[in-house]
Amino acid sequence: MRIGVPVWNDRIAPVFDTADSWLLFEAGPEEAITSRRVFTFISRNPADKVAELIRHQIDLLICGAIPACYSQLLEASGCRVEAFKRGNPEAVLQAYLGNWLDESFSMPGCRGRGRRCTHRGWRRPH
Amino acid sequence: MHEHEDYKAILESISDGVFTVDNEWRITSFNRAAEHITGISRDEAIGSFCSEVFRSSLCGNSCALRKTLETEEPVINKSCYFIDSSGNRIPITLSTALFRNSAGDILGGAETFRDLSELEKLREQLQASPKDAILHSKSPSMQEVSHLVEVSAPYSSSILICGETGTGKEVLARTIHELSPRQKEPFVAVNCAALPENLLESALFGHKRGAFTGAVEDKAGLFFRAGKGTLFLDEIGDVSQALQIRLLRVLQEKEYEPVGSSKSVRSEARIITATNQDLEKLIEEGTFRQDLYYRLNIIKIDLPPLKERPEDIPALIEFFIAAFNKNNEKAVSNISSEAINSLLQYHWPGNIRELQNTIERACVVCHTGEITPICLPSEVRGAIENSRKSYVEERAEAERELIISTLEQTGNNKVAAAALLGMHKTTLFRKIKRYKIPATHRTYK
Repeated sequence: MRIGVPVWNDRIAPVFDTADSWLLFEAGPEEAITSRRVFTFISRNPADKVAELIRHQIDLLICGAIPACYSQLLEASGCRVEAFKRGNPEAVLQAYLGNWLDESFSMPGCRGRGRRCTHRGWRRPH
Repeated sequence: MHEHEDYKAILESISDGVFTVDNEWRITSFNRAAEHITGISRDEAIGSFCSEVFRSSLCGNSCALRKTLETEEPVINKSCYFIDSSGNRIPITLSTALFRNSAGDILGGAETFRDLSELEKLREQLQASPKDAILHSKSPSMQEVSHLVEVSAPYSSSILICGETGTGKEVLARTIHELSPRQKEPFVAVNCAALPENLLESALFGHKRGAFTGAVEDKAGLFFRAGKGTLFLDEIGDVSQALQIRLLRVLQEKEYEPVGSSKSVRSEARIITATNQDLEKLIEEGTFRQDLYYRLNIIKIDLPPLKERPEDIPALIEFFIAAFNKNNEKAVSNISSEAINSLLQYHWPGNIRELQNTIERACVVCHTGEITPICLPSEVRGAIENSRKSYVEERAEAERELIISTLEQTGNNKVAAAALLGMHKTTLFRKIKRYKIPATHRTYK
């Protein structure tokens, strides 16, 4: 599995739009991280960042705050998005792989039974 | 103590959000308005890194507070946005200040922010027209455009609008005109690429009877018809060199001569031009005059392509559906999320015009009052299917190549290859069978 994590100052970048760098992890069976590479986003435009992540064929994006339109684009392309997360990238990823990613890794205002921090699509015309 | 309580009460009563941070960037106070605007409680905010609470478009290397702490200079009314817990971008302005103790030592920073989304909603309620896609766009790439429109509208300076075909250059020009003191005067638009040079010259400046074959009477040109209003010249990059000279004179002298006349006519029109070409490149190639470019380019507005403002697509879809319903005896009431996803995934080479045509077509062909993917053209419908299909296919091909090279590396030792690939050996056997990796690819050492 290929996992992308935008980063800033050794933590998950709080805002996807402004992240300059990202980590690409590969994880095998038994929850083992088998590789870790650092990339600098080619463009500062968030739409281009999404395209770059899709080109790298990531299966999962773990990130901080991300606008709904971009997370929807990623999910439409087959990439799962775990958004509004915070902390050390490796620690958060290990928690995800070990299936114990709890609210302590969620940003303030994004806790509580998944009722918030979900991107429910667009308002439809009446 | 009493004074401190007074300050606290004041902070709790104001409608602007205020928070303070210490030297480690952790939030130390968070007023009631900050809770209301961000949707985050004080208890959750205090002690957390400010960037993980506020989540603004400046967080990171552009942090306003960081700049203030480094320079000891405040930032005042900086426009930006933050991302709320639902993934919406909320427009705000913010200001910063240093937070000092009674001895004057810097303890941290204070940030004040104002929610502009209510102002945007009010604008929406006032009217719904194409210019709303410009003035209350939800896209950060349009913030600069909105700002330039609002600051340039009151003046008479010439404006150059640059953008791809179908991005709404004429709508933008009309918006500027309608926001200007000239709003009651005419708005005259002409596409300079649509007419041959001689007809364009006559169209712009008018002609006298007998000026050329077919000129049987005097005719006023578009400069005259624009009067004290606005003249919009689209595709300005296609204008001939001779006509460029004439336009330069109008911009410099505010005068022109109709074709076939030696008498000058005064022009009071404001000039807005537009192009989808790179005029600086045309200047280098020698086909566009640099002096004219400088006259046209007093204010330059770059309109981003639709693919750079996906946040605006849903609002544009709603507008085009509403416009269709109003003009036709049909009520399209809904659009499925799958159709919206297809529309978001498509790259829109024709920009807003192509989106408008697509929605109109979908409204015509949909049978049930709901637009679904089947109502969309195949290239739009296929955008999401093709991206998934090509992604899956490319990934499979990449994995097949990786297995082949790993088997070659291990001399067909499947246990070693599986370990290198990070998978169980039975998984590897299954993938060798699935990808039909022939025996000839398995080398023996």
